[in-house]
Amino acid sequence: MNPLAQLIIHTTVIMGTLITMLSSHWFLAWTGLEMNMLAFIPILIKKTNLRSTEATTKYFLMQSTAAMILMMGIISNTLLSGHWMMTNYASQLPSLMMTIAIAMKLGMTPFHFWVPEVTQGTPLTSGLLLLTWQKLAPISIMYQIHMSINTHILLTLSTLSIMVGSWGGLNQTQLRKILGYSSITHTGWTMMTLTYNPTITILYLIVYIILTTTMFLTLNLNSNTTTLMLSHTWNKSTHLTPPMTFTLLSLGGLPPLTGFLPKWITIQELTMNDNFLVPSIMITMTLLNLYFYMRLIYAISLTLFPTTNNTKMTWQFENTKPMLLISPLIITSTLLLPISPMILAIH
Amino acid sequence: MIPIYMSIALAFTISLLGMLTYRSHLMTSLLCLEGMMMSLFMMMTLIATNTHSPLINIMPIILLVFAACEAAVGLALLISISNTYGLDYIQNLSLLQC
Repeated sequence: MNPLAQLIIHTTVIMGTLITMLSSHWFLAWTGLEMNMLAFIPILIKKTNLRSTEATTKYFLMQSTAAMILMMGIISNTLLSGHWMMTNYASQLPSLMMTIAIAMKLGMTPFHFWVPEVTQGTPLTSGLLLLTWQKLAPISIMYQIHMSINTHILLTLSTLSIMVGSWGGLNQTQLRKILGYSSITHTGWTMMTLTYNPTITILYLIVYIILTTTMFLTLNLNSNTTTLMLSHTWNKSTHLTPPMTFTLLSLGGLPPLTGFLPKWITIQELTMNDNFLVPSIMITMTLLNLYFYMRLIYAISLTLFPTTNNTKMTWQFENTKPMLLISPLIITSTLLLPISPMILAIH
Repeated sequence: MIPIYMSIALAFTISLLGMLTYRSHLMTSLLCLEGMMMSLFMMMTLIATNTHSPLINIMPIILLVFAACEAAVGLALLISISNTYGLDYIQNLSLLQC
């Protein structure tokens, strides 16, 4: 893309999210979401092939429907309460419409069908922005109205998201689809504690963004998009093999790594509110999530896939992809568990 | 509930259902998207008229601006699909299935 056009488009995406996050007027929040969506479409369709066009169309249809439902909720809220401020005490019908609209924007079940397909059809860096940056604005809206959201509906949406995200990712070999289903699962975990303690939602979101960014950037180094391409990592760039395995384990939520921290705090918060069945279901379903990460680790490090390469190690060329942020991201995504006393002190 | 808001909300609901249940053409979804946007415009104009404050009067126009932008983007995507497949049938968009 033309660098000037790219600058304008990326700036508009960032500005849209910032307008939504910093506003207290409903109309301005909606405007930020619209700006974000309209400017994100060219990023998705950067490479003009058939799959990109299809993915972009599906993304556009879903997001614009969600924006319309959100606007209907906003107007209903105005009619019923008389003002346009984003407060914590909206009435039931507008709150329900807003929850459903934001669930559509985030890709929670039962509105999750677009996430794997859109993540699959777009380049890896666009998929990165799709799964990380595009979550910030809707979650900031949910954070501002968290007291008026019906807890039962949110718990149902989240639990179903975790189930669908875990079961759906089992039959995939395309890495972007796996990361799409992983995003559905983690969004379910993120929204679980919104009505109990929204600080934990923000914690989960931050850790999830760090982990997903690490995954996408390391996958981008060799342009890995399938499991078969991942299996060549030991040969092509051996230095990437341990970081990738540890990041995948961290995504799955295993204890000495960072990914365990938000899950632990979420479960603690739910059990402190006398809710025992839901965390049990959550944990059991997330094991399936860990299973398909383990399958990727198996492909990266524990087996040798059949390959046409005869030499044990290829000549190591200098990498031309951007490697700027990967080292601090890998360190943050695996070694951040010792800060947990600081998080627990927030209670 | 005031009847006029109910009837416009009914128009919104019908357009929403038309957007979600389409048969063969993508254009139907885009038209229903515009229908939703128009019913929201009418509701917002009614709110702006009944709230006697001059600052709110700009809101329906801004909503209309975003409606036009979305229609333009939607049509551009429709044309991009129609360039390769010749039609805008939804069943053509099946490349990315799991």
